[in-house]
Amino acid sequence: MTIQINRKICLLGMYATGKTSLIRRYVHNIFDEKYLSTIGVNVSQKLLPPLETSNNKIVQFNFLIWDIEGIDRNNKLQKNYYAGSSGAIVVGDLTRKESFEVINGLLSDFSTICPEALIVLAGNKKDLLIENTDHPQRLKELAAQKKADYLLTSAKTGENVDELFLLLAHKIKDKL
Amino acid sequence: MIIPKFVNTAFSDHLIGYALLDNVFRITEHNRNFIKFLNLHDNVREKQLVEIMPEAIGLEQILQEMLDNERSIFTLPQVNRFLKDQQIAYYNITFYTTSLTDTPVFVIIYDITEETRLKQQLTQQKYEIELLEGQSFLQGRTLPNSLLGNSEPIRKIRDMVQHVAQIPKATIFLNGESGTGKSLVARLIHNGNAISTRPFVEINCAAIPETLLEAELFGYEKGAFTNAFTSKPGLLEEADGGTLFLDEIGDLPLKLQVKLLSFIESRSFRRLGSTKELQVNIKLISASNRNIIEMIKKNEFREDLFYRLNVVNINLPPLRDTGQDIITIARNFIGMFNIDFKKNVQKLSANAEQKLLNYHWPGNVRELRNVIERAMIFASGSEITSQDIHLYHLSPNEENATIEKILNIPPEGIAFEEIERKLLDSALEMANGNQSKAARLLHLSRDAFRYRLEKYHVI
Repeated sequence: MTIQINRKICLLGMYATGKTSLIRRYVHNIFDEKYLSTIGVNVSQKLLPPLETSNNKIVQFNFLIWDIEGIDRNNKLQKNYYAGSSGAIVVGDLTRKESFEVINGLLSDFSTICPEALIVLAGNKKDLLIENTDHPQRLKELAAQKKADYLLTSAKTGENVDELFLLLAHKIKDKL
Repeated sequence: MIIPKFVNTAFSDHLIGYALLDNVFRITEHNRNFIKFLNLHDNVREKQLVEIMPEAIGLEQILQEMLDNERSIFTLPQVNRFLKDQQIAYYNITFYTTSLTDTPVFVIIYDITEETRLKQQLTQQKYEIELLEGQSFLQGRTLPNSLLGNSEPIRKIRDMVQHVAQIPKATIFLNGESGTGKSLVARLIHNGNAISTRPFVEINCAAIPETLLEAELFGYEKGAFTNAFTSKPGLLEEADGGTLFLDEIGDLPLKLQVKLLSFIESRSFRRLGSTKELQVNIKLISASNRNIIEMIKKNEFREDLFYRLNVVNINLPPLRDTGQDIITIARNFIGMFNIDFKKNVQKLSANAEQKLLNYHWPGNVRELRNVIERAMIFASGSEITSQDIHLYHLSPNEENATIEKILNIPPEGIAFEEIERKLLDSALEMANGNQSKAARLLHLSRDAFRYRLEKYHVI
């Protein structure tokens, strides 16, 4: 018997890193080149494929995916978005170094509110990655430092997008 | 419980929706706006809050803290809801505790769409400006680092790029084999100076049919030719203030060579079908992997145009002439693919390095990248060995031996036309369908190549 479980996850990251595009690609399989900045939060749902737990139970997650605007760390109300999250995907833009510089602060705030939540890092816009830039290396270092997994993704081509959400789902499942 | 009249009056404002929750977070009362804001149609009394408001999923602990009097208020600001016309409505959702035993939690939804849309527009503008500034900074900073290597020829090119990048109207000619990075150097020249935020327009002269090339370059007026239903600016106009990069200039038809020469001399031109003279201010970079001097001798390229294009000549060396740079570039690719493939390859073995250094690299850096990518896919340890390195082309001596083998006619004879047709197919495949490139692979003119294609009905 499959057990369906609701889980709230957050997408965090600097503005214009492609959080909304990753969700639109994952939930609706669409992509739009036009950039529209998110204000506040938009919640989407996605029913994931069933997964088998270590004790042979079948679980199926219904992800409530919170697409959160590039956070103003001084705004205490915005941190209310994190409450009750089981995990977070923290997104950096592979074409903008500064998008990786804010990740430590975001993770620190998030982990204060959700200490048990699981984290996956994403380096998005892989399709635009310029050879010889060190941003992927920075992502790799951040992932090692936070003991988190990471993936290079492209919301535009769809590369590693399903894998990104599934990676987080597996981590949440392993902790059940 | 019936909501007291004064509450309904107080919240009759069309921008406020509310509901009362019991102590298991079921809705007991709500106003009309509450269901309107949540895009619900029916009465939602007795329903669990999480059933009708997905934003409440995960908030169970917060709501419990409110029941336990550990918290009196909790707000989710600027919650987005998509309307039917794909516009976004924005709401602040606030939970309050009440002193009522049956309905201890009160939810208020404030419609803040109007002011938030304004904020969205302002934020959008701010971010777009920051992104544009960041892009020009990024390009300026990272592209010069893309020309890797420390060999004499590469250092010389870096020097030249730095010099010509400072000259806004320079005319530069890049010469080098396929895969040596002509397009990269053109972008470096463009980005290395103050006009880097200006347009960089690139056109591959071999990739556009001859009949369209003139209209693409110079633009046209409505009615200039059949199907010219509207006027269209050409690439010269689009590049105004920036750089026009004409790749594979050797494939520019003679007729257009005359017109390009006229443009370079006067820096003005006319759209097709127009009598109006237009002027543009551009840096012109052209490139070819063909021997233009040989083409001039065969009357395939205009000498006067070549001297106009070749004001500054940058000759990109083939990879085989850059010595240890091959290893520097290979190590860089290893670093890149380590991240891509999540591997931890630390180095090339001494034998692998020697194998790379001994190879003649007909496909240059592009080929080196492919070779390292393949090696990284199959590498299992922390080192790439010579067994992991698979080279695609034969050495020049081996190639000659193979040609000898091909040219040995078997005793039963061979159909010449069949061989010719197979050569045409192979050349087209190698050139990814580009007829000019395919013709060059067979040392034929484009016309001679096309004649054979038609003869064998290959196209």
